[in-house]
Amino acid sequence: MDFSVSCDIVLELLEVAINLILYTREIYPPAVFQRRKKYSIPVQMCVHPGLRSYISECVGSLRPVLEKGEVERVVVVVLSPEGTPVEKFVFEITQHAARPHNIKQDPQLSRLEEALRAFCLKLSISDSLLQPLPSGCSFAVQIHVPEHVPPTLSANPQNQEFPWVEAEKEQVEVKEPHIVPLKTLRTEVCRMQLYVEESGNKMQTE
Amino acid sequence: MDSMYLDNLDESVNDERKIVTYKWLSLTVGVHTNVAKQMLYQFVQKQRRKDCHDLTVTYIVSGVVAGQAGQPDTVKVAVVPEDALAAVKSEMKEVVSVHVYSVQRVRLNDLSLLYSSHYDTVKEHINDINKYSGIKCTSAGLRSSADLEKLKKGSAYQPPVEPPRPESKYKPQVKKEPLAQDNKPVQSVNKVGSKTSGGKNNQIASMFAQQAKKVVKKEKSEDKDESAKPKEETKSQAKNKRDISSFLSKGPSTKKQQPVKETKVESASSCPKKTNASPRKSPARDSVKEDIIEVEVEEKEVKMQVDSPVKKQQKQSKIKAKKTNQTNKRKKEAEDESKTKRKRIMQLSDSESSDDEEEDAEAAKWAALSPTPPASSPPATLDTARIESDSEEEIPPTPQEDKNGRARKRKLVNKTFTDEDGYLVTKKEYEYVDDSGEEDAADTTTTTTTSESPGVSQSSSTSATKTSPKKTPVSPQKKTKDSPKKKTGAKSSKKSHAQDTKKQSKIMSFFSKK
Repeated sequence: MDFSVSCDIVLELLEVAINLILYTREIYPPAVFQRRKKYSIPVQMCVHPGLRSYISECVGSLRPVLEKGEVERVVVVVLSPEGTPVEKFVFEITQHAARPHNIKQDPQLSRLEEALRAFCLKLSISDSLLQPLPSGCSFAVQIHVPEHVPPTLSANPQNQEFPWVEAEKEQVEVKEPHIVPLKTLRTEVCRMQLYVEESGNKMQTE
Repeated sequence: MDSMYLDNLDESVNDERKIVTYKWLSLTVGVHTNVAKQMLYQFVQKQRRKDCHDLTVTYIVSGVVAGQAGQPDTVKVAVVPEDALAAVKSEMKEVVSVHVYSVQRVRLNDLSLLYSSHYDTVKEHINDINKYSGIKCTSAGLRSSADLEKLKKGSAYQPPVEPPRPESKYKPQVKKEPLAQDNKPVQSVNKVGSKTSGGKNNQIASMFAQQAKKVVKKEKSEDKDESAKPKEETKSQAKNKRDISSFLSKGPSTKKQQPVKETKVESASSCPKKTNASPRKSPARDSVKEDIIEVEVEEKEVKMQVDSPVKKQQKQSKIKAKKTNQTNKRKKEAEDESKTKRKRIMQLSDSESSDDEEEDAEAAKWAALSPTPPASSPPATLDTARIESDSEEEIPPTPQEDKNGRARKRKLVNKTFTDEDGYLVTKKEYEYVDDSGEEDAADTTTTTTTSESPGVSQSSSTSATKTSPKKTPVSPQKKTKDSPKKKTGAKSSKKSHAQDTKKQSKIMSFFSKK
C-alpha cells in the first residue's frame, strides 16, 4: 500500500497545524510568528530558529512511520507550568493509499486544498471554543502507534539524533477531560479528525 | 423575509462560529454590499440588546490623514477591531466612511483570518464579483474564450512561419506590401524571443502568414537552416546566434517563427543582391506578393506550414557565393550560440572566404545542421579550419599575414594571480589564442596558454577530420558537394599540420586548384 502521497500531505498539514496551535493558544508570544502563505491563505508560522527546527524535526521524524501508515494519532499536548496536560489537540489520522483514479479526480488538488484551508481556519478560531490557558504553558508532541512500531522507530538511524521517547503517564492523561470536536477532514488521501481534550479545570495549580 | 437574515446570521455566527464578513454575506445571500453591511449592523445591535457580548466586530474606516510637516495628506483605509476604532477615527482629519466589516464570536488576533474566511466563497463567485459591489464599470466584461486564446498565443512561443515560395521570392516589390500588413502577425510573433528588427520581422511574418495557407508541410530543419541564413545577414550577429541556435538545438521538430521570418528577410534582402535569381525563386516571390494581397494574417499553424516550402526551395536551389556565405555564417552562429568566439570566426570567414570554400562550407553546414548539432567544438574547429584554409588560399605565403588572418580564437583559459589579500586566485577568462600556439601579451601564466594552444590546433585537426565523414550521409541532395566537403576537411587537417611545418603555401596551392 502506497502511503507516500498521503504521507507528504499529512506531514505538511501537521507542521502548519502545530504552528497554528502555538499561535492561537498563545503558547509563544505573537512576535515569534510571521505570516506565511499556505494553501492560498495566510497562516502564522514560527520564525524562531530553535522552535522552528524542533517542530520540523518532530514532524519530519514521523515520515518513516507515516509512510507505512502506522500512525494512529498525533497529539499536541499543552502542558501547564507544572507539567500536567491541560489541553490535548488530537489528530486522528486514517491514511488512504493513493490510487491513481482518486488523484485524477482532483488533479490540481484544489478540493484537497479547500479542505485543508477549512481545517486551518477552524483551528485558528478554536480559541472561541476553549477555555483560556494559564500563562507559561509549554507543549509536547506525542504519537500513538501500534505495538510493533516503537522498536523499529528507535532502531532507525535517522531517529538517533531526535529520538522518540515513550511518554510518561502524567503527560498523557488529561484530568477531567471534555472533548471538543473541532473539525473532520475527509479527502481522497486521508481522513483526519481533530478534537480537543481539555481539562475541566485549567487554572488549578497543584 | 427581512427578519430571516437575522436568524441566518445568528446561526452562522453563534452556532457555526463562522467569521461573517459583509462580502461573504452579500455573496451568499445575494444582496448588494451596502445592504449586507446594514444587515450586519442590525444584527450586532440586536445581539447587543440581548446582552450577548461575545461578539467581536471589526470595522473598516476610510478617511484622510493629515500629512506631517510638509507631507501631503494621505487617504487611509483600515480594518480595525472595535476597540481600536475610536483611536483610528481620531487620528484622521476627515472620516469618509465607517462600516461594519465582519462579525464573529472569535477574538481575532490575526486579521488575516478575515481573508481566509471568505476566500472560498469569493473564489466561487469570482466571475460576478462585481454584481453586488458598489463599484461598477459598464464597459468591463469577461473576455471571451477566443480573446483569451489570442492573448495566450501572443505570449506563447510560436513556431516559425513558413517562408514564401521560391518563385516569387526575389521580387523587390513584395517588400513594401507586407509592411502594411505587419501588425497582427508581428504581435503573435514577437514573443518568440527573436531579436530581429521589428520591421523586417513584420514583413516576414506577414509574408509567411500569407504563404502558410498555400504551402504544404515539409521538413522543418532545412527550412530553419535557410531562414537562419538571411537572419544573420540582416541582423546583428548576436541576435542571430541566439535565435538560430535556439531553434537549431531543438532539431527539426521545433516550431519557431523566427526561422520563417528570417527566411523572408533573406529573400527580401537577397532579392536585389542576387545576380542570378533562380527561376524557382522568382515565382515564389510572385506568389508571396499575391498571397499578401489576398490572404489575411494567419495563426501559428499556418506559419508552421510556411516553413516547409521555404525549406524545400532552399534545398533545391543552387546557392550562390553570397548565399553560402550566409549559410556559413548562419550555421556557425546557430551551432554555437554560447561561444562568443564564434562571432569572430564568422566575421573573418565572411570577409575571407572564397567561392569554393563557401560552397564546401555550405554543403557541410547543411549536413551538420540537419541532425542535432554535434558538440560545438567540432563545428567550431571546423570553421576555424575553414578560416585557416581560406586565409591560406587567399593570402599565400606570408606567415605573418596568416596569423593575422587566422581567427584569433577566444579561449577560456585559467588565469592565476595573487589578489590583494595575498590569495592565489585562479580565474577563467577569455583570451585570444592563436592556433599556431602563440599567446596574447596579456596572458600572465604562460604555462597554461602554451599547453592549450597545441591542444587547440590538434583538436581542430581531429575534429575537422571527424566532421567530414559525419556530414556526408546527411545531405543526400548535395552529393556533388560532398567531395569538396571531404576535401575541405582533409584540407583543414592538413592545413593545421602545414602551419606547424611551415609548408602551408605548397600544400594549399595543391588543394586550391580543384
